[in-house]
Amino acid sequence: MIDIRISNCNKNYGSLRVLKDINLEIERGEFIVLLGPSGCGKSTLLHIVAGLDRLSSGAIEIGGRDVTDVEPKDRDIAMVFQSYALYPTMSVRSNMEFGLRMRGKPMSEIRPLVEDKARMLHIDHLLDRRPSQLSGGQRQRVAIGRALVRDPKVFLFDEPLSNLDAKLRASMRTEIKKLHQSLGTTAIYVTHDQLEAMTLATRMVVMKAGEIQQVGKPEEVYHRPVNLFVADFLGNPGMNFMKGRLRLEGGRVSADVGAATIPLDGYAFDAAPADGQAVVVGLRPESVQPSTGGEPFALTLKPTLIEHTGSDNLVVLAMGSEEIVGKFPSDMLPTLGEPVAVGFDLARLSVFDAQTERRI
Amino acid sequence: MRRFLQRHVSQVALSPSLALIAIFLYGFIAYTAAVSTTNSKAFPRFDTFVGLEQYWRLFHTPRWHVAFTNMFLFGGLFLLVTISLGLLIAILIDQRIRAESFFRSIVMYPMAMSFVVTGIIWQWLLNPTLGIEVMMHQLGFESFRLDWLTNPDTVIWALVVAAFWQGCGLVMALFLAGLRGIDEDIWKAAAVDGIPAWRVYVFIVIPMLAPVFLTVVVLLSLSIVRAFDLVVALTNGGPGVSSDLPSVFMFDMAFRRTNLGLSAASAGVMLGTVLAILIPYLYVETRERA
Amino acid sequence: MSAPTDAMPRSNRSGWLTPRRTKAILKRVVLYLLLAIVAFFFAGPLYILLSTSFKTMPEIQAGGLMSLPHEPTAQAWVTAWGEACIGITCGGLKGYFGNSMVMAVPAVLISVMIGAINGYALAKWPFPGARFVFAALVAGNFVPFQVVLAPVSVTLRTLGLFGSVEGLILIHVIYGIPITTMLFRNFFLSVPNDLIKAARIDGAGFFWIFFRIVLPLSPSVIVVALILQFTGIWNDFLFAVSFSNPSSAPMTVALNNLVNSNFGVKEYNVHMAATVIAAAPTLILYILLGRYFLRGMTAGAVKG
Repeated sequence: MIDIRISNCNKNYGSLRVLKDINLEIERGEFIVLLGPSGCGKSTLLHIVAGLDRLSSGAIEIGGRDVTDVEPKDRDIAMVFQSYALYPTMSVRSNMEFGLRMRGKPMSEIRPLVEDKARMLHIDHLLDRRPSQLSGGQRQRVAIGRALVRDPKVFLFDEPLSNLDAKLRASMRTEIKKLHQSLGTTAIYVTHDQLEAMTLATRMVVMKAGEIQQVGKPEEVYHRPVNLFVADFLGNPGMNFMKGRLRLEGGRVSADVGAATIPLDGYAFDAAPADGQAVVVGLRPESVQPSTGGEPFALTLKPTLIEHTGSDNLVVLAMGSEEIVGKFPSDMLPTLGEPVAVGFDLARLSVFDAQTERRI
Repeated sequence: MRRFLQRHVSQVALSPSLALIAIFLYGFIAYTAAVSTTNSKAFPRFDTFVGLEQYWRLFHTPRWHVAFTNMFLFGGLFLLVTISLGLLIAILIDQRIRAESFFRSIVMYPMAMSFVVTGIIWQWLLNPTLGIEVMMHQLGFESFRLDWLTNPDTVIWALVVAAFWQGCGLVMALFLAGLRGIDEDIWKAAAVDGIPAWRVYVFIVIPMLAPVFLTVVVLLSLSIVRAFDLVVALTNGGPGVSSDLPSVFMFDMAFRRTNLGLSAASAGVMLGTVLAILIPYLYVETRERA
Repeated sequence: MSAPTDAMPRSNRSGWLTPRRTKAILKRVVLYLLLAIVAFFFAGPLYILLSTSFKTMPEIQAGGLMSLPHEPTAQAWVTAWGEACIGITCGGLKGYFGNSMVMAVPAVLISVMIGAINGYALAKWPFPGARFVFAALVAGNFVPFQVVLAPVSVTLRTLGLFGSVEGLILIHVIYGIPITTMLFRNFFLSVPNDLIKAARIDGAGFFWIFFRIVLPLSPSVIVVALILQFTGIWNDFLFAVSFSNPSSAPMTVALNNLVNSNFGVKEYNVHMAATVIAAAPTLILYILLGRYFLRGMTAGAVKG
């Protein structure tokens, strides 16, 4: 059941094209995360779905209804902002009640609704306080509460956790996920933090410069990125990229990356590989592990730098003229300068055409 | 000696100003207060001590009654008109209009003029034989009357309009700055919540501007107590004494009627009024800071 | 790219003028209409001033407040400047304009200088009781000057300065101390203290730091102070009318006398020209340096 349909959406500011031909269909109950660097248009797209911004061309449908020309208040949506946007001169209770009161709902209905949602978010003891008396995390909960109370068709989140410190961000992330699981309302969430995107999304939309790069479940986008940009944007530390050329010999394909030749027998090619094709081979650090001797492919490489993160050791390994990073378990500590046997998890490879940057 | 100077350069640099202010401000205030307790006429004579009699006489002088009540009447009307219209104009200009700086400049340029100039301009505009009344007649509104300047009951409006024309600019600028300081996301949240614009202004924006209101009221009130130039140039207290204000009364008593004692008493009352405005304001401000 | 085509989804077929758009356009029209009325109210008087000053008396008496002059003539301006009768003398405004200039320029420069040093001392070289000194100095901002008129009069007479330009300069300098001190002190608070400390460690003293480090960082606040003081002093009427002689009177007094004196025929065009002349300096300053004006005025609004 398609809840939101964005068709051929374009947004221009004068000659600047901020959104280029965006098409997206969102099913009921999905938690869609718009992910991308600043300036990619994700916030603009969210504002257009909300009705706070007008499209230059295209259409938006919510719940089967064409809402392209409909005011935000009539689109049955609720929004949570990065700066919380709480009305500072009103109490928490009044903040949560205000929207409903404006719509003419009787106080007898509003009161219990507000108290119920406040309890759900653990802010019921703060109902009579002013926003200025609350901490950042509490304010964000009130902002979410204000949205919950509206019982909308769609929740829109505009980088709501960016103003919180790391620890608080992590706990609020979990809360938002739990809320979504219990309520099941469709949601669109904008962030530049790929960890938030990975953990919260049922499907991710990666954007760059006004265009959608890839849409898919987090695992899919993570393990089978559709181009170099997506491959590089996700994952911390970033994917290793090795430049080389394809070799077709006797029906078998491999990639010659200078310091080694990587067999690509099991690789599922999207397009027919050509001999001598310039490619970039991608492999994430967690797929570069100390060799136990049984891998189909292993190299001996020299570590040049080791970073201990507590849970892992990030080892920078010299490979020919380039460097790759491996994510070793914390109890496997190689010695700087001493060659160590390293295995590649070939099932996790991504090969991209060097020119088009697309996955092949 | 030199060592002392070097170590206390700051205080030494400040002392001339401090001394001057001590004498010319606080000293002179004390002087005037002292004169207000005497029966001085053309010259201050401290041997004619009469205690608070001058104040008593003041409150029994009909002309002072007019002047004093005028201050509140004029002040009240001026505050009401200037604050509400100033806020309204600020809101209009805040609507992301083109040529915003043009409109801002137009509203604010009267600030640069002397109150004498403003008074003179409005004296013409309100002149029944030359000004707006004549213009309206020529436009066809034959029965239009604008007799503020000649009617003792409505002359106070002449002062209000002229003072508004000059003072609106600053008030508008302060409100505009306040409006600009409001988080944009609040507007977005209100749009999503479906709150009509006027309600956002009334229930959310204006309460958020409370500090600006306070500042504006205090600033304007202080200038009301001191209003002198405008009255002299626009109406000279007339017709008769119906548009008199305490400052004009004080001046008249001192320099024309040679009754320094009474003049000093009126100045004392003016100062008292200023303190009555300032002290609560300062109290509120310092309490909030702490 | 943004023009609707047949390939587009249905909603855009209704064209460019949707109900939502119409409402928005209507709102804009009303907005600009209101703003036009506002602009008319504020700019109108200035226009009337200027246009009337170029008319002849018969034309003025015939009415038509808002019309442009039929045969513009600058005669009124010549009269206003050089021939109008103010009080007993008939030499026009030029003398009084000169009086105002001779009074204002030194007064502005001196009071700004003093305020700058005071502000600097209070902001960067604190000492026990500095807060109190600041409050004592700045309180002068709020005092209605009527309260010192009589003693100032007495003092000036005693010093033999009553009715002289020097007397007025002295008064304006002294009573300008509160506002300039407040302005500079608030500004200097934002100059990083580390600059001062570094200079002191290098051996520099109070005045060296002031002239070589702090002042060069302050052009904007200096302009604000100059404009604020010049406007206040040029436009002042109370002190001018209390402490000047007919011959030494500043512009504001002369203008008031010219317009409000009750003898003879009122030459309105001359009066208007005279008013523009009187308002010109500060008005020109405003046109050129408007935003500094605003900063100066709001300095009175922002307490330290």
